[in-house]
Amino acid sequence: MNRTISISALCLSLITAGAQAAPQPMASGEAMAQQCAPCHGTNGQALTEAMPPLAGMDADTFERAMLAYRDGSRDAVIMDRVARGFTDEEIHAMAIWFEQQPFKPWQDTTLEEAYDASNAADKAMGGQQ
Amino acid sequence: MKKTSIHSAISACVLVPALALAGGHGEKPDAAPWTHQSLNQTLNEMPQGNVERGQRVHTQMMCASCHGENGQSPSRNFSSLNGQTPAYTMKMMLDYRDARRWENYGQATIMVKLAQAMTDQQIADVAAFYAEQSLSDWQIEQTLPDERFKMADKLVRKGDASRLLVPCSSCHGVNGQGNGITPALAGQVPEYFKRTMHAYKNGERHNDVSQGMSQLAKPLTDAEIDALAKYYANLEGS
Amino acid sequence: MSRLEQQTFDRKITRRDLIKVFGASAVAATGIFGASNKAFAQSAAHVVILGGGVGGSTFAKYLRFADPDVKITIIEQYPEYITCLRSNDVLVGMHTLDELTFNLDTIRSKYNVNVIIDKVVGADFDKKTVRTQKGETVSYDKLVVSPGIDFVYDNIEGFNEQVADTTHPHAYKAGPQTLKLKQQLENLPQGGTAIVAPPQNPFRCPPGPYERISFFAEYLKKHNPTGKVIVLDPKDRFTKDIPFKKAWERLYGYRSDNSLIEWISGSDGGQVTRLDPKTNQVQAMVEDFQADLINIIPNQRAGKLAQMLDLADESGWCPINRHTFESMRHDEVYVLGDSTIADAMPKSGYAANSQAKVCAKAVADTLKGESPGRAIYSNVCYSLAGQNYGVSIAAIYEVRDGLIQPKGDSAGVSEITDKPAQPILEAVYQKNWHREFVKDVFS
Repeated sequence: MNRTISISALCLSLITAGAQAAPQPMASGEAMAQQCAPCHGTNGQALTEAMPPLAGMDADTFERAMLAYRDGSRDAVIMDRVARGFTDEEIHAMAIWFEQQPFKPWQDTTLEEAYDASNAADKAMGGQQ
Repeated sequence: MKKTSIHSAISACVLVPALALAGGHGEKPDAAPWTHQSLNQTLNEMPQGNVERGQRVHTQMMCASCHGENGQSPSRNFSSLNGQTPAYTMKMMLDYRDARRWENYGQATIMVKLAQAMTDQQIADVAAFYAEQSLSDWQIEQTLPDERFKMADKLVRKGDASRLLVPCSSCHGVNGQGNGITPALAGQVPEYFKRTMHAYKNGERHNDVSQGMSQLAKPLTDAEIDALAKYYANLEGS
Repeated sequence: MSRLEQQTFDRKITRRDLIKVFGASAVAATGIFGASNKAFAQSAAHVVILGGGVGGSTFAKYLRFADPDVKITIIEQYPEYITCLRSNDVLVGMHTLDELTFNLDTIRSKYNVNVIIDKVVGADFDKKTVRTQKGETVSYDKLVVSPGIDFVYDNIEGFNEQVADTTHPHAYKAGPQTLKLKQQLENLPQGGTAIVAPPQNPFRCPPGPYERISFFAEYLKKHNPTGKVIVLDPKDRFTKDIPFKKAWERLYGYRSDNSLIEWISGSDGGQVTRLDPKTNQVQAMVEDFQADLINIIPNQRAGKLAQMLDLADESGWCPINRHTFESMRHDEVYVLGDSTIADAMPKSGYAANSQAKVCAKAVADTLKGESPGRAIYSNVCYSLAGQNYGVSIAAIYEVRDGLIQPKGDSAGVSEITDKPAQPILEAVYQKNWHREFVKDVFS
């Protein structure tokens, strides 16, 4: 069963890749993580909000939360819908990226610190960012 | 004009509490600070909680989305509620509802809005439900070097007479199991513990009776708070 | 000016342009980018952004994330920007216009962005320059246009810009019209009738009119319980209509005898055809209505700047490359936000912010000679159906079969549940979202 799914998924991804000449199989962890900013703050660095900060969250906690939202085992208002938009690999890439962001408010963070964190995330992904 | 068809009005009973507060957005209720007497009287007058009903409240109010299936927080952002004393859980809900806890903090807003939508009975029930769940240690491992462990252990068991610090255990129990309105701390999420202690220390939080906690938080150093947070996170209660 | 600085700008920007753009003192004293030496890299390209709203401001910030060296200039007509976002709140006193007013000071200082307050009057795509009202000519390597929307009045007889500015505000661009509509709601006589007429698709902030209708009903419930809101809609469906209507049932007696809201769909003749501003009458397909307050939200198209720069097609909207938001009509030009044809993505501030991040990375990659990474977009629209009752729609998007489409199984609106916590939490999250969103855009 799993095998069938993965093979057809592979075929599908090959077909779509051919059709649009998509440059990479998935968006970078950074590009995906930036989409979370409107609720969780720039680089996940909103520390005092109803929605939790993602910056500095250990990758394992992030991944477990997203997977639980996605399979419906964790009750949610909106994160269940958001999580259903991402594959395991994509969730992992975001987890690595957020883990490297400094755990402090964005307004107290310099651009240099942000570049450093981004580079650190790049390294943590083995340059696959 | 073609009239919109009239359907039988669909009952909105589950939303009655929400309706009741529709006009109260951002308005701060005017609650007098607790005295030991007023708090005891209020808690004594709370209805008897029921665990089964409490579980339904836990589901209906979506508590699990932040505090976990049985009240054990799935992330560092939220407190664990499992094994908490019913008196403490009830007091917190009343404090959120009546603006004794009105911290300028997004997560506090969630609790204010939910508490305002709950009846006394629901609060008593959900408190009974959490009290019934066993305490457990925080699942994310906390590393605490020996010297930091000793620092925390001394504060917990002996206190520090030179700073007028009574031992934490004198109120919270040797195993951090809590007692009455004094909360259980064993297995508490360390980030939540630290946030709370700093809020007491900085005067942002003052729902404690007669400054029972804040006067003890003020002399503590950041290192001590950090060590205590990890110490309690690693405790297993019982 | 040092030799290094001259090289920085190569021949595309003359010294005269440079001083005009950056101010003589800035050029002389500290160089163009103040203390950042990185900004003087010889090859640094110049990216010029027209419009300092949600799309333009986000783009500038995230382009700086993607490239520490590139020169970035925003040309914006107004020194302050009032977000249309949450301007419905102003109508019922939950926010003031001041709280929704932002400027580009932080974008300028924290992200090394040059800000010019001036109106763009034309562009030369061959020479790669734009002209402003004050007579400046600014050269660019890449041009990014985030022009917002423009209103179209010609399908409703008697309604036009002048009527909207005086007696019948649409209040769909935040500003003086918002305050006028607030006053009209407050002046509604006891038992009076308010008409709200939403536009035809596509338009900015699809849930906006329905949130406004909800707020009107909540206001009437409190202050004018015998009053009524009649909705004259040209459409049969609207975004989040299921959770909105459920909220109206729960809060305002919708579908009951004494409902505060009556919604007349397009099929039932809701399309407004004529307004008589003097007698306060509207003619809809179905019949004529007399009302005390009439709020018609006009149909829309891409912003005036997009029309003037020939970025819009015959549909009135701007076609773009779905992977990068580069214009399909002119090279080296990118278009963001409400004015674009973005398929499944709504015209929302969140969407503009999302697109700006993808576009910023694509522009940075292109300038470095690399091919842009894979695009991923998102949108969440939180609306209030009452002050403590939120409803939402959310999706993650990707480019599939040449269109921007929901990714995975992400697209969906708030579930209808019997959990009283859900709409309360959504209302709390809505406020959280707004606070953090404007920070992500402007600071």
